[in-house]
Amino acid sequence: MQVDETSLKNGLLTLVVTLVEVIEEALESQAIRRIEGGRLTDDEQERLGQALLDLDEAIEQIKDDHGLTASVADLRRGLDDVVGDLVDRLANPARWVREPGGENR
Amino acid sequence: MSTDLRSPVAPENRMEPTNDLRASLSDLLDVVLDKGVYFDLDLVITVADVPLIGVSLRAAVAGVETMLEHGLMQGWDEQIRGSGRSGAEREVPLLDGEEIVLRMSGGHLQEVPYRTWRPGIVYVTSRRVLVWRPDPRELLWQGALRDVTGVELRPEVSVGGADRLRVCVTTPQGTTLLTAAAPQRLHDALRAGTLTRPTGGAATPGPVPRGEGDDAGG
Repeated sequence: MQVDETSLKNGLLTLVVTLVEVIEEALESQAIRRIEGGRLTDDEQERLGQALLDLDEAIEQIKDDHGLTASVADLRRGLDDVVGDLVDRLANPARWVREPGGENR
Repeated sequence: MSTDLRSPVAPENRMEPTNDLRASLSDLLDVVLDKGVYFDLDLVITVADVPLIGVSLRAAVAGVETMLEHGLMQGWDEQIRGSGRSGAEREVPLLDGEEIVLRMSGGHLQEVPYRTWRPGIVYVTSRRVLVWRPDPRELLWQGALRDVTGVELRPEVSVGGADRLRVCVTTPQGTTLLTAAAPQRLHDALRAGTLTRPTGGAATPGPVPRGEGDDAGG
């Protein structure tokens, strides 16, 4: 495998942006919970919404600027697969243990 | 593919109800934050049966809403929200009589001390073009419209190999590259702003809030 400066930069940026994107999604769903929780004032709700909107736009902008949209989507799919397998393994342990000696999936 | 359609379906391909949970990373995070996780970790690193390093870790991770439901972090919640209550502080600092013409997400290319794109929100006002980051607040770059001597669109190949249009703004301090969600609109707004600027000394820009704009151009 050939590692040059561009591909290194590309890979690192993809990793960072993907993580930020995942965190942003977690923040968004927590923001919805907080708003539904009813403790926030109207002003706080509005500010929160605007800030998350700005964050979302900024991430899209960064992805566009560096041409990372496709690679970030790929990495996300990969991560989702890993998590999906993990959850599946925890939820259905029986399916992952075939007869002794049989090969695992 | 020579599949005999009449052949009996192999046992592992037979359709049977399964509990197949395809979860994405976001789903997992959501569940974890909604339920909350409590770590209780004791770790002792030993060499030759002699304990050398000890780690005693107690951690609770959850969405604040979950924390509040369990009676945790109430003080923090009120304190932090109380400190951020003045919403006007987050707004971009404008000069007297200055009006926002255009607002979009974008950024500018910082040249010193190192070359990097700094994302923020690009504003074109009646007097300035500026890149503002609300959180943490910083005026990343600004230029007075009356100083702008050139505005042009420049295609560039990004790190990922995609073509992007950058907006080149030339001021006496130098040329700065701006990026924006809609480069063409930013370019047009800047063109319009710099061409229709009031002639004469009437539009002297007031004292600029911060001096970063002067050294950003390199």
